[in-house]
Amino acid sequence: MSDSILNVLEHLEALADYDGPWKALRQETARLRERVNELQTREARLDDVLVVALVGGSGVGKSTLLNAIAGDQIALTSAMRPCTTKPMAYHPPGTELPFHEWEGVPRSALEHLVLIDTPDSDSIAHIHRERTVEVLKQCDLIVLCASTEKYLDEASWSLLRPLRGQRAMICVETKAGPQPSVKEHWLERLKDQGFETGPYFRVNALRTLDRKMAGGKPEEEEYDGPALDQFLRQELNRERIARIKRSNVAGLLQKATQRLDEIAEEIRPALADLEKGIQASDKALARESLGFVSDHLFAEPHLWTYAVGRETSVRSKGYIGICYRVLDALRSLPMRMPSFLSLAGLKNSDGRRAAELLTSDDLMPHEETIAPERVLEYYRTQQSELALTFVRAGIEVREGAGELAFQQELDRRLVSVIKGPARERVQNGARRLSRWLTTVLLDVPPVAFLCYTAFIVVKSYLAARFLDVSFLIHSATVLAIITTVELVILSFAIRSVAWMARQGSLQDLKAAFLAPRLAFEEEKAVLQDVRDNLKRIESIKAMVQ
Amino acid sequence: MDDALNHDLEVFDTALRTLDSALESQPALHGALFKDTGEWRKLLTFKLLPQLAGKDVLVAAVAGGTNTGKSTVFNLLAGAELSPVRATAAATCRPLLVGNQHRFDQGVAGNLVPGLQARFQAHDTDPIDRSAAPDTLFMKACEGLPDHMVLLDVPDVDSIDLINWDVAENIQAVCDVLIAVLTGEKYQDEQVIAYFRQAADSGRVILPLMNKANDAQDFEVARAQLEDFCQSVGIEERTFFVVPHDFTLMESCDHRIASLSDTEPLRAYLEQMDVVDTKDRVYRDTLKHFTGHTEEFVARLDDFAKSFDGVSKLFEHRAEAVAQSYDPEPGAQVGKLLHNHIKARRGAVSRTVGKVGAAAVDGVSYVGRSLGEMVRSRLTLTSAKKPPTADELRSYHARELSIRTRDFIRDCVELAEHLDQPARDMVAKRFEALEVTEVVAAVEAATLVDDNISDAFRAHAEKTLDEWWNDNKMRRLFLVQLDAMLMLAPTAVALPLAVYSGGVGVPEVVAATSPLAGEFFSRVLEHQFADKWVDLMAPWHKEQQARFERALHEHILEAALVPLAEGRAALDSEAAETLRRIHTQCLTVS
Repeated sequence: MSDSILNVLEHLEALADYDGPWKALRQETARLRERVNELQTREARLDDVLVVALVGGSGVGKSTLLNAIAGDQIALTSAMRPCTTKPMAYHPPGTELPFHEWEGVPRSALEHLVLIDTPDSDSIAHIHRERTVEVLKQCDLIVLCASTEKYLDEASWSLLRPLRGQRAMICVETKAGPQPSVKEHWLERLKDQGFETGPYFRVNALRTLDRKMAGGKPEEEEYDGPALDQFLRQELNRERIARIKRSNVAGLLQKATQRLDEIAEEIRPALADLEKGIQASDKALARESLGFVSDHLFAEPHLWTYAVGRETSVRSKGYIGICYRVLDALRSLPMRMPSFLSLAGLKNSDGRRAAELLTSDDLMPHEETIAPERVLEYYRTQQSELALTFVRAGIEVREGAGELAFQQELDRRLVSVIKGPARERVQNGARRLSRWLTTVLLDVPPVAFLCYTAFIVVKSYLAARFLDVSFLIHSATVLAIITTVELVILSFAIRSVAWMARQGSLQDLKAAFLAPRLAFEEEKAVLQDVRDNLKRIESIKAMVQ
Repeated sequence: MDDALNHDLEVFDTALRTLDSALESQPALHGALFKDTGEWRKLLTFKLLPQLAGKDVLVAAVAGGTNTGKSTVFNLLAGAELSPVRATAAATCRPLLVGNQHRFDQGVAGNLVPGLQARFQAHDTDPIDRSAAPDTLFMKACEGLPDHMVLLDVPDVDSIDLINWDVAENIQAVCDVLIAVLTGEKYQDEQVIAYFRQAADSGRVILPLMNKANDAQDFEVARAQLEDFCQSVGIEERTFFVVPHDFTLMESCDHRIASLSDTEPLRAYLEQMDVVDTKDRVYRDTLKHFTGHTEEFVARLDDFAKSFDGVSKLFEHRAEAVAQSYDPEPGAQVGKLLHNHIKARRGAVSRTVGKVGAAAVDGVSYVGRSLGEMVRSRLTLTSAKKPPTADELRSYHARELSIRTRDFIRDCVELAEHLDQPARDMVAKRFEALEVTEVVAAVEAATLVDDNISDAFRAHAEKTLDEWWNDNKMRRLFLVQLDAMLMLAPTAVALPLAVYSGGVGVPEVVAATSPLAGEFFSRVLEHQFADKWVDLMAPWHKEQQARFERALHEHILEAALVPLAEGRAALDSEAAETLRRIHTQCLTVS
């Protein structure tokens, strides 16, 4: 039993420390903390003395009852109302009291019991009522005292109502006399309002006190006075005290759980909606990002041709290779110009950034983002929709943090694809195009033609003949034509390599974007947090039951 | 004067009822407005209105805490066992009125206490029957009583049956004299004290009576206790009565309740009271008390009206700010419009020159743009931006609007949670209940009335331009002259030169190309400065924003703030005005 209570307490404490986005739960933490503290002290005092509070309206005879139980004039009594102003504890000598703020009379012969006489609960002195409330917080057993006049007073009942089920209670009807008892009426009304009470005593405390002071035997006119004595002295043994305390703790737990359960029930229907909303937004965002990037950024054929061309020109060998290298250097001249010379808008183009990533070895510079603005805008739409759903469900979400995270995540994924498999494809293609075999194959026609020209030149030199100028012009033209045709073939090869690289990379990009955790991390975390706490509440409920 | 006053009070009562029923559909406002008004409304219903009808009868009520013996004292006073006595608490739960036959007839006819449902007490146990309606008044005839006095038995004011408190407060308003039945236990209880303090404040004569008193030493304890009671309640005139504890009812029903203040016993004391004077005094004090409270009520009416206005304004300001943040794009070139406008108003010569120039400029710019696009796409690795199509533009605007609308709704939900009561209860739930998807769609539809935003903008801009053209004579003249100069000056300079030099040379080339140059310069100039000279965007911007704001109003605020508007209307209604007016009149009288 004790272990399981400690377990529940641990969970409750965790909930009392809650400072998250779930508003209803956060508003509850102060009260929960109070209850947890009370539970802890009660749990620690399970084997301690039983604190019994005598509670009731002004003038019903609480102090007189205490005197009668003690058999001595301990508390002041008077005909003027209100009389008792401060709580007073009556306890056996040497008992360690669990509280120190009230006066104590260490003369009691009742073991394990601390009787507390409280001020009234209903007079015009408000401070009395507050003090009584303090005592009620500390006590384990309430002895509700009332006379025939005061047993239905709202003032006393309103104090006890919040404690229903959390304190054991017995009823004592004071000033018993020849008039009929109100027991039935009183107990019936108590039961109507959900109170559970223990044994009922009808006493005439004044007579009992007189008899005890005189030292006689119990008389008929004391009514249940001796029975009450008997109850306090013998029936309230260790075992019964422990049972009372445990049932108080159980009642308190029940109360705390009940409130938590209400909070949980309130949010449960909204939670399913939120979940669905997040999933839908997530999917829509991935689709939109992919659509935009593949339609715009990745759809540009120049980008890929440029990248493969650059890579090829770096590796190219042989005559045609050198020619291509020169051509590429000329073509990329504007890209290499310092920024103040470059054309307006060149720096900010999405395609250029992607192309730089594809070709350069540098990592992505931090200040630049390649996530396109349109996708970010779409994100904002989805986010505002989600935020509204969250607020309506009573959950607070921080604003604005998610956008940066999404932008960075999108960048990261784009970069990882471009820097990773896309770049590999481009480089592999370039490598294939600049192999020795390709180089030789491309170089064969111009070299063969050059050899043939050289052969003619040497032959005519040996024959001591001068060649026509037209021959040289003719040869140069043929070489130029051959070179141009070869370059065109090479560039077509580069284009097809680029096209293949693009197709493959698009697949990778799709996989990268559809991978989980793209966006709304914050919202998901918040939802998870709420879910965890819901689970906690459920487990508490299960344990309490 | 009394008649006039009575009439005023009747009007006041009617107005109050009208207001009450008008606000029935709004429990939050109703609750807040009529909070703690029970007391003075009862005074109005049970004392101020019917008092003038029954001027000559003193109403004495026996009141006190539960089980203090009110019914016993009542029976003693009446001299017969009329009210049922029970040992259990909170037994009497409906009032019982006794008077002589004449008063009984009057009462049963409903003329004595018009606010309550008079019923003949058929059974002895009627007043302890919980099933009777709370405003029931049981009646019984008792021959011993004089004509100018009736007695009332009242339920308790402190038991857990809260309905009894309400009934007791009704009787408190009805009566002139309250006999406070106290006991040694129950004379300092908060509830009891509060009840009698309230009665004393509204001018009731209170006669404290100690029941079950200890007769030792000439009731010394009882006297001290009664003094204490008077101190707590604030009673100046101290006339005490006492019923000793050893008295038993059965022995002597005609027992006279003894006085502790050297006066007659209670019954005789009551009979000897000056009815007219007492009633008059009670009436004056009641009226004073009543106007004190209506003052608060009228102030509350004004407070609520002011607070509602504040709340409406708060939301309106938000809507305005949101609408201001909407910065629509027209999608059409602003500068071209001014250029076209001026072009249409050129003279014959500059029009011809302009036409030639325009054809050349268009041709050159087409070639240039194509070349530029080619180069650009190679350099920047992206295609040129194409102007958005009508659908794209519209969906862009729809997105902008939907984000703003959603944010606005969220704002409103959060704002509503931090409002003061009762506005919060009236409004917060309604904001939360908004159908967001539908609302957003409605706002979009209301704001984007035109499918083609560029066309809508153009129509607007041209209207603005026309107006500007008509209003600014001097500037218009300047513009036209500038345009003509740009158009004609190069040609005018080049042509004579060409004629003079008489051969193929530079001047001819200049003369041939100058229309192109003129058109080019004028186009650049007018494109660049169109929006600075004539604020072409402003009216359209303003209209779109106003439309957006109106849509937010109509679909969000008006829907959610309905209770506030209704409440405001009720607070401003004729009934409320009447209440204010009559309150002022009563204040002067009292």
